[in-house]
Amino acid sequence: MVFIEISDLSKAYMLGETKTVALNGVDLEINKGELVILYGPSGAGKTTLLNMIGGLDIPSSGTITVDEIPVSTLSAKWLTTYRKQKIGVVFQFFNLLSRMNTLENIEYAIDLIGVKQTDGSTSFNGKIIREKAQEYLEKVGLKDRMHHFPAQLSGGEQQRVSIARALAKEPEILLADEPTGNLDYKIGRNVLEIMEVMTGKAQNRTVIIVTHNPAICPLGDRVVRLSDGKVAENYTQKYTPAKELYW
Amino acid sequence: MAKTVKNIYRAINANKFRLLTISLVIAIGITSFNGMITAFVHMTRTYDTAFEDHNMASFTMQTANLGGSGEDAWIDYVNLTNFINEFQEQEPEQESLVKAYELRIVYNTVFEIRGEKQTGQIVAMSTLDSQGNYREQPDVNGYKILSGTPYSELSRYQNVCHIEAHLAEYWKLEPQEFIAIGDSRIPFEIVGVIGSPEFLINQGSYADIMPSPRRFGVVFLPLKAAQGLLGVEGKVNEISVLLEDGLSKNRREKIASDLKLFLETNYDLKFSAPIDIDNQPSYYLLRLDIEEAREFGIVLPIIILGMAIGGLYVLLSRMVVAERKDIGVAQALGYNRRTIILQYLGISMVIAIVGTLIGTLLGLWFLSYFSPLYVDMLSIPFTPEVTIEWPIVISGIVIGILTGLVGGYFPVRGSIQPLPAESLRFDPSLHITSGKIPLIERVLKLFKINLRATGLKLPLRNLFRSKRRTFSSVFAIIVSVSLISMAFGMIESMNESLTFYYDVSEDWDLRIDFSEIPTNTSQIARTIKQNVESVTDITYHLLSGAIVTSLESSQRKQVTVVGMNDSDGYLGHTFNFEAGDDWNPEGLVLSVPIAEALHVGLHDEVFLELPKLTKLVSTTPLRAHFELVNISFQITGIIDEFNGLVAFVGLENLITVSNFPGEPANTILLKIEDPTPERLDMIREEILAKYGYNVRNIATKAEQKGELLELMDLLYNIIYIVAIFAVILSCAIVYNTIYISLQEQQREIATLLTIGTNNRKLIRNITVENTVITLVGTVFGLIFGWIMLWFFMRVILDMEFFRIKLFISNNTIFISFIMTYIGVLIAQYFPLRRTLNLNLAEATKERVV
Ligand SMILES: Nc1ncnc2c1ncn2[C@@H]1O[C@H](COP(=O)(O)OP(=O)(O)OP(=O)(O)O)[C@@H](O)[C@H]1O
Ligand SMILES: [Mg+2]
Repeated sequence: MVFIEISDLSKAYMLGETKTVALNGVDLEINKGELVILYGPSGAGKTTLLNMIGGLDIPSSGTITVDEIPVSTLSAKWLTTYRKQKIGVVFQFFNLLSRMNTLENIEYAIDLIGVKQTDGSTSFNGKIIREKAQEYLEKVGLKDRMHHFPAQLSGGEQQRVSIARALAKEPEILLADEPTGNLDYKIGRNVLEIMEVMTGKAQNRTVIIVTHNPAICPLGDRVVRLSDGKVAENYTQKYTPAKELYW
Repeated sequence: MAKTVKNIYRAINANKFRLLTISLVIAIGITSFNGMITAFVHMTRTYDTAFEDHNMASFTMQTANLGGSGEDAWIDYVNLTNFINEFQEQEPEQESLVKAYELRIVYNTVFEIRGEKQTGQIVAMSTLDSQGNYREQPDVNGYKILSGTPYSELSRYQNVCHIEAHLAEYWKLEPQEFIAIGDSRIPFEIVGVIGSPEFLINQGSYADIMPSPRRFGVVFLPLKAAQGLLGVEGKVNEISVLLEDGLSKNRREKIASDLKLFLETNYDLKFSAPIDIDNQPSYYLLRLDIEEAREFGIVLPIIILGMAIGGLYVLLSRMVVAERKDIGVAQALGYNRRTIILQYLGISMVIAIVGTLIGTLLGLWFLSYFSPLYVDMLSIPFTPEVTIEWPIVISGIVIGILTGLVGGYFPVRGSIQPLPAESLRFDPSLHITSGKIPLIERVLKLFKINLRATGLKLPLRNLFRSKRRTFSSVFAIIVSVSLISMAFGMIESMNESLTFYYDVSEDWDLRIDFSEIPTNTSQIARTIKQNVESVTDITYHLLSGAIVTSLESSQRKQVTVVGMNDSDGYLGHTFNFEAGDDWNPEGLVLSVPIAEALHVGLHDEVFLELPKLTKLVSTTPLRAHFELVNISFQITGIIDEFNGLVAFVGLENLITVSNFPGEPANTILLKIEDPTPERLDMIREEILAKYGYNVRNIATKAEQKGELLELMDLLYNIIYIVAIFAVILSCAIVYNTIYISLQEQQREIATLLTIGTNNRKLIRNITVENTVITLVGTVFGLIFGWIMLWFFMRVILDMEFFRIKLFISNNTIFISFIMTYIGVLIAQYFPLRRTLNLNLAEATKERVV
């Protein structure tokens, strides 16, 4: 079943007289529960595509449909709802809120949608939200740093907080822009392992990881290679667990 | 919700100092609102109670020939009482409206106090009620005893008096002292000092533009004593009537004219036109004064709060820009615009609430001395009761909070992008508005100026490529410069107008005012010139009040008409012509405010309503019967000078149209060679010895100027308050904006330092940037300062009788620039020092918030 359907998607930026084409007719189908690696050189348009899927930006032309929602035509208001309900984002540059400590950064995301209880109801109770945030911090191994502020964390730690924040919402779709881009091999692989564990096939979560690092490609069920704003390659493969990746 | 509160708290904590400065501005606005509006309410109430409690007459009516002798000057007390009772019986519906009436004597005369002579008025009322029993207070136009005692039952047989507060204050008179009243200098014992609602402002008539208790003092006597003094046993010359409350002016005037008609037709009496309470000088002038205080109390806070809104706007929009990435993250997570706006609005609300609270508390604290101060400045002998006016306090709070809402909502709403992708890519220190080479650089290049060599290249690029930042900094400078230049411009304009008036316009050294108009003035002048040493020039004028009208306007303007004797070529006055160019004894010279009010210009025709002599009683002193006639004059000059309500005509001309006998004048002006104070004093003594019997006042120019300055105290005080506010506001706003602007650039600065730019170069670049901003802002600031100066002095503090020439001097320009520039340098010092001392790794890593 096609979960994300992208057809003839283009995005151009105008800066004065000059026109930069970031995406130029992208066609792509992604199934539910797939782990997709979006691979390509710098400037290929990866972030741009991810932003479109996440409802952070709107295309110049073409359509995106996610779970039968016509994302590309939603109004700003509905885009907000879409992001809130469906999407979790791990940013290329972490983008933690500097005025909030680690725990609060995560709570800030959970505040929006509350915590699903076992009886099916949703709780917005502060204590329950806090427990949930702590649970995710523990998962990324940073429970002891929960009162630290972003400026007091290393790059890898910030990225792990960023992942915890994206996942704490338990979104249907997780978008990760270069989650390892700013990190060294060891920490990078650690981050990927965490993501792998936390997204886990069993959860049926659709994950798109952007990278310009070919060594990460084996991690995905599917690899989409972007080049000059176009899909240059698109293939499925047997995925390789993160701990077996080397680069 | 708790999270939002927490976020607001964090944001405020991170910016507390800058936010506090805005709070301070709001606080000043609210303080001035509370203080001034409440003072206005207190004053209004004080006056109203003074008028009500003491039964201020609804109208008064004086005999037609007040101050004269004979039938139309004095009326028998008993007869008049009967006539008025008859009127009340005949007009039963009017009768019920007349609460009380009082028959009085009002008479202009001379006093001798501490051996010096001065003019003034006596007011006398019976110490008995209509049944003939002793009473402490009259039924109409009562008064408040400030010190001493009321009249006793025996007072009517004694020469005792009550002294009005202004006169007592001037001479420091106390009960048990004596003053001599009248030409025959009968001594009267002072039994008390009183405050009277009729004389809250000590002014005899509107035409007296410089009321001074030295020239117009009021003494209250028991009726019988006054009758004895004036030799008019059993007579009175004025009726004061107290009507029921709440009658309209029309209604009051109708009753007054009915009464006049009744008395004139049935008993052949003659009265001058009744004076309604609204036209009573003290009452009218106080209303004007209050009105002015009220306008000021509204406009000043509006301006200050407007600036607070501007400051909040700049601060918040800058904050939102700096935090654009955080906003993008929140949006990406799924937060909607409303929540985000609410969060920032919360910040501005906290600023506003803190400011409002401080302002309200300060305002309440100010109250206890603001209103009394105001009343004291006007030397009004009724102290206001200071109460907290809750409606005003609450309005102040509402206004303060609205300020926060307005100042916060718009910048935040405007700055939030609909799509987070843009915001996420954003970095404030990398923010570029356009990639173009700034226009100024291109222009300078045309002139072959090597910018790199001047060291201007980088600073200019910086300024032009972050337009928003530059714009808000320039805005702050404009606010600051305009405020300071306005405030100093006000002070300077006032000073300059006064200086010009006394140094140039008023071309005399000593001025003699007579009590009674002599009709042989040229002879007096000649004698003085011949006998008194070092008098180089002498001339004499005849001053009188008149009403000017024109065909072009329905306005009637009260002016002082100066009849100028020009026979010796010495005028005693140098005209500063705005239109016309020479003194013409056949024409009329008019001041600018009057010409403007009447819509007339050079060569137009106006009418002066002047007294025309109909029956001469005696020549020395001049006593006669007059009627008012309208005489047409052609305007031969319009003058722009300090005295705003004045008209000059040739003395010959005035004498002819008024039908005066001889050469009457009431003022002699002397020009003295080398006018040292000692010499002036000597001449004064000499003249007093010769003409003392009729001299009401001899003043040097310095003395007259001093008197005027005292009178203008209130205006000066208001202006000083504005000046102080202006400087505080300017500092707050400049500091804030420059500080935030540098803080925004902190990471960039740190990066430059990391690359290897040395501190000195960096500081120089930033200083050059801020200097350019200050210069540009100063130019616009001066323009706005001028507009505000004009607005304040011409629209708000518009007082016709003082015509102030407005200007902003080079000194003021320099001061506004320097003060602002110092503010800028101080503001740039702290964030710069912090950045320069900062751990560079920290500064480059962390985004500025
Ligand atoms: N706001 C913008 N204005 C102009 N051009 C832009 C803008 N955003 C992106 N671009 C351009 O669009 C192209 C694609 O950008 P994008 O950020 O998607 O690349 P990327 O594949 O994510 O690269 P990297 O691996 O370096 O992050 C680039 O050439 C970039 O310069
Ligand atoms: Mg990218």
